Amino acid sequence: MDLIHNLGIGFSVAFEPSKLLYCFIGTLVGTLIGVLPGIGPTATIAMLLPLTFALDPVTALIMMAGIYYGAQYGGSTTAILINLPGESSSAVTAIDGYQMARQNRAGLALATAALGSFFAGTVATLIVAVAAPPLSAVALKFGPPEYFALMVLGMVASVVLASGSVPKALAMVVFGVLLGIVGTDRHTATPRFTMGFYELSDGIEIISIAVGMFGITEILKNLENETDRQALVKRVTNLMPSWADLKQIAAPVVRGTAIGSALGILPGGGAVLSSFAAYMVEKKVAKDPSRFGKGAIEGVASPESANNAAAQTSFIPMLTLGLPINAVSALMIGAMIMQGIVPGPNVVQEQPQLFWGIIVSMWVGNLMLVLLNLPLIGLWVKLLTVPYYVLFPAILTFSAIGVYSINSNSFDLYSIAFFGLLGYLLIKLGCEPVPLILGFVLGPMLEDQLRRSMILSRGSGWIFVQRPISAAFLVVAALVFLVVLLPAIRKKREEVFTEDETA
Amino acid sequence: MTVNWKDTATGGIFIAIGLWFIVESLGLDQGTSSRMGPGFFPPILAGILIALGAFIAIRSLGTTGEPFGTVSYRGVILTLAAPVIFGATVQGLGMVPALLLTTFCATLASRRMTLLMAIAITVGLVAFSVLVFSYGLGLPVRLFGPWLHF
Repeated sequence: MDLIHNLGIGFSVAFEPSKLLYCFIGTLVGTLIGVLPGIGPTATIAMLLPLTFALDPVTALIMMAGIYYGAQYGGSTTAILINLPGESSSAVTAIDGYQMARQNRAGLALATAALGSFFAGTVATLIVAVAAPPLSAVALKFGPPEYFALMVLGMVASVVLASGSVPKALAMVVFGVLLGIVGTDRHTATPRFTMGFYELSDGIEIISIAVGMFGITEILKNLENETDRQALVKRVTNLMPSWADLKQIAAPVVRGTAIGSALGILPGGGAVLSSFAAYMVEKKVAKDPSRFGKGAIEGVASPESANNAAAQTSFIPMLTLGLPINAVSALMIGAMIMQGIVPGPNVVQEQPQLFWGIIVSMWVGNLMLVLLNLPLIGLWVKLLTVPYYVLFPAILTFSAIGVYSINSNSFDLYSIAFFGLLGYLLIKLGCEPVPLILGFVLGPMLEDQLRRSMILSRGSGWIFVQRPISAAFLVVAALVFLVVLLPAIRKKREEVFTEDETA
Repeated sequence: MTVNWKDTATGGIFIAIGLWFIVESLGLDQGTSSRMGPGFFPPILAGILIALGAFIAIRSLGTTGEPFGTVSYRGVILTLAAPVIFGATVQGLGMVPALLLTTFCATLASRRMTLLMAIAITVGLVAFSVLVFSYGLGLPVRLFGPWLHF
């Protein structure tokens, strides 16, 4: 009955007018950026971070979460209507969704995506509510060695599950950790790696890195070749699925939800990986797999449910352990720290309002998304074709003001230009920025837990192997790492991600 | 011999970054393994980074890679200039003129922008920003700065 009591707390928080308002704003902004070309949830949340300081922490996090899963919804709209996935997790939706649109079934595809996502969001929210408290209770028993080992596991897993070259991604994680420990050493108050800039004595601002590496870099990539987007369908009709359609999508939606909920917890590719896995499963279980790629409704229902379920359950590690597993949760943890909340297993006990409020608001947000998306689809179709050259000056202007507003410091603006250039160069060289931001957020915690462990063990590194839980984490990390090095698996992994990219 | 120059450069960059962190760590107290000082962990990380960089660079020899791809130099320069201009002028000129310069610079980063369109977008965006950030959110930045008071 604890669950009902706790959800009661959550409902009372999530239904406060101000929370409802910001949940709505979050999902609206999320849908908008999912639909608009060339701007993703990470960049948006990074640019909105400064503005969230004015809000209380619960409201701020509710809005950020709304942007994240709202973008998953919006991304599927562009995937279906113009064959361009707004978010990478919608890449597989484009395969059959776009074909459905060409067969004049765009309305049905959009409705399927929305209803499947809503079902998945509801189930996944319940899973978070049930799974998070026991997990955080276990995590409360963790000491510094366990935390250190868990972070190592998280970083290794995020590298392996992300697309691209493994050594490059590993190097980006390590570089991120190094950037994370720039600033005054917390144990001895010694300034490190500041190059004499007093602005760096509190460390590099997460906003400088996030806006630079995700916002600016994104713009530079889009300016390489500017093209207009054409919507295939000008007016979407026939949104209501028939009874037969509903029967056809029921099983794929359930399967997608299960796959997404399970894979969402994994660090790294959660939403992307799960939508791809769901599509593969549908193809395997279908009586006639040749329909796939030609407008099979299962090919929309299952991946869309999966990526939305994964978007929800990806909050489990963040809420229970304080560990980010993707760029968005890294930013949310950054926001929590800046608001004075120590992320970790204590949050459930000490901040029940925050914890349960966020969980319930996710469900409320999913409901808003269905109401927002289906009736307003005409509006979103119009926005699809907004030319990019109108959009990006706005992004740049707002982020400049936003970044300046944090400290009223010009140094932060020069930093975003610097990290924008660095991020763009690294992307051109095949290094994705997501592992870097994970390393950046985890860096200070990693060093802190290492130092505490070594104090506990009086300087012996064996402590990580002697304590069973930390040893288990390290063994899993080593296994995950070794598995990727096996030639057969490496080849399969490359296939998976190339198909994902070209889809 | 074919060389994937992109990866050679990538490896080189990571090695250089690692070396810089090692050099900077030299002046820091290492401490002991039971009481690690500020200079204990960073050189270990930097060492790993150098090893990874070396691995990437060595692996690039004898392989071919994808080309670097197109770059819009105009886009890169003007996009990066926009936040720098804002940073350099916001205190002196105040929010309105600084934003006019920043936004105008940003609009020109696109090759498809026309002058009329650029002016229209700039004026619209600056008006919107001043309304939202200055009046709406009460951002404490002067609209016109000391450089404009003669």
